[in-house]
Amino acid sequence: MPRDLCKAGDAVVFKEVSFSYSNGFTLSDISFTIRSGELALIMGPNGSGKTTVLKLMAGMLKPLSGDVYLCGINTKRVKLSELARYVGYVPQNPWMAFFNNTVFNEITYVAKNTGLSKEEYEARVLEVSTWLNIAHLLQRSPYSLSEGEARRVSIAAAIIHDPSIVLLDEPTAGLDYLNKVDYVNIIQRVVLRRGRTVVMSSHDIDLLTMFPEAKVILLNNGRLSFNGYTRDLLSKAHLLFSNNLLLPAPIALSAYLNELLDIGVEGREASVEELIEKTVLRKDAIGELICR
Amino acid sequence: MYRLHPVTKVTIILTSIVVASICPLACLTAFLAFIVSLSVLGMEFTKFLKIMRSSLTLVLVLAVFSLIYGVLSARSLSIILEAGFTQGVIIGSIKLLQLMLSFAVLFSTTRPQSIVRTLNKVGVPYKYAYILVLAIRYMSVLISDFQEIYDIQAIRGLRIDAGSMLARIRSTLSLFIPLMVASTDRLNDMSIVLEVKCFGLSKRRSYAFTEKASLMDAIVIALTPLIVISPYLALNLVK
Repeated sequence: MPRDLCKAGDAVVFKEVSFSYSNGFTLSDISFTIRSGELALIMGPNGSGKTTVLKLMAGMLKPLSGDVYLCGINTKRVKLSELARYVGYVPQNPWMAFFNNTVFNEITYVAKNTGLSKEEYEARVLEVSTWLNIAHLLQRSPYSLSEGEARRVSIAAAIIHDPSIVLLDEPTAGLDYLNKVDYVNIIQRVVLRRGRTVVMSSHDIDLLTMFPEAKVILLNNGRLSFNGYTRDLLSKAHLLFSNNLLLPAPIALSAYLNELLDIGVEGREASVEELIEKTVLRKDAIGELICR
Repeated sequence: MYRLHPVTKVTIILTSIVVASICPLACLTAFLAFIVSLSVLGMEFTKFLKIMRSSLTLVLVLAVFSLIYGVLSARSLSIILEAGFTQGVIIGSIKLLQLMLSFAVLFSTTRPQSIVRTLNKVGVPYKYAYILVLAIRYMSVLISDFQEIYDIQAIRGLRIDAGSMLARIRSTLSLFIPLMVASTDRLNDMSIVLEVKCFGLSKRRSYAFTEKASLMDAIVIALTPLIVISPYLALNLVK
């Protein structure tokens, strides 16, 4: 099957999928579609089933009922190792995957398993390591890397074989704000290239503002709460609150400023540009906001 | 079985060890029947069936291996027909089944804290008793980590069942190296946590809750040696 199978059409389809663990947690009747080339965020509070959905997508778990299709392939009908050609998986803990003696071997492990020739994967390593700024780490042991370096190597290892779909499990967990922005830049510059479909599971609400065009699948207690796009979700703040999530900081500040400074244009809330213009003019109000 | 005092269950295990070591087939069978009856009456039937199924599977596999080993050593299939050899395998299997059942019943019907308390009360230093329970609890964590690592490596294209024997052995390294690293990290964290919680600071340790023995415990403890000698009693009665 060609590597660019997912170039057009639906990359991921969940059709009435249900799954349950032996501890009683159940995912019920989940249905959604992610188009090729889209970036999708699977969001929800802790224990909502985000990682379970991601693992069902990767084929690590098989649904009890319903079907999961990756680029038209039913995950129930193929072995996990056969899906590796089309899927790149970036685990939350990169150390769970590392076992080779050098970063080079770690990155090329998937490429070797999926049948790329030596010339092909060596060229790809140079390309990917340049994009991710890890070329100077190739001969080091994976266990000598810092957290940020390990995450970059983990991404490199997941995209080396040019998969159609890349799955990231809690990619920004444990990162400070600057590193988070840096990581998001990497995803936009490197991972989303070539029309790849990217799916990220996270409870980090800031990602909504960092990916304003993303598809959002909101889960709560194993059920689907919202299936749409970021802009639709942010216009329905009650959905976030009812799923134990807060508004992203910039949106919350915007809403607060609108209310505090009463600077909304009649009939609609102020745009970001209007907010900036009017708050500059009303510095005293900003001072009041800070003092509060 | 859940309400029995842990000391009662430890008594059953110690008796089980003695019976498996020195007692003849009649006592062995009687004691096995006693443990099975206690388990069926004292725990959920589905749980008992699970324990029985896994114990029987392991015992049967070992019995088959013993038979194969005997045939290979003797270089003759006729050894299976020899009464002594086959009887030995059967008796060994019953002993193993009895030991496995008694330990399985203890660990599936007793909370780990209770085991630690009981061992500490009978004189085992708290540190060593806790290490034993940590090791038992850690098994499920290890299994869960192994499953996670296996899934991650499988989605990276790992195939344990493909290639030459050397390639397959090499591919298992991709599972065991991350498992060892993750386990070492976890144990390191655990040791720091125990240290900051003053683990082992004092030889005297108090408990918020202690189990109390009941009449049922006295009955089971009294019955245990009686069951072991019951075949002899029955034989004397018949005579």
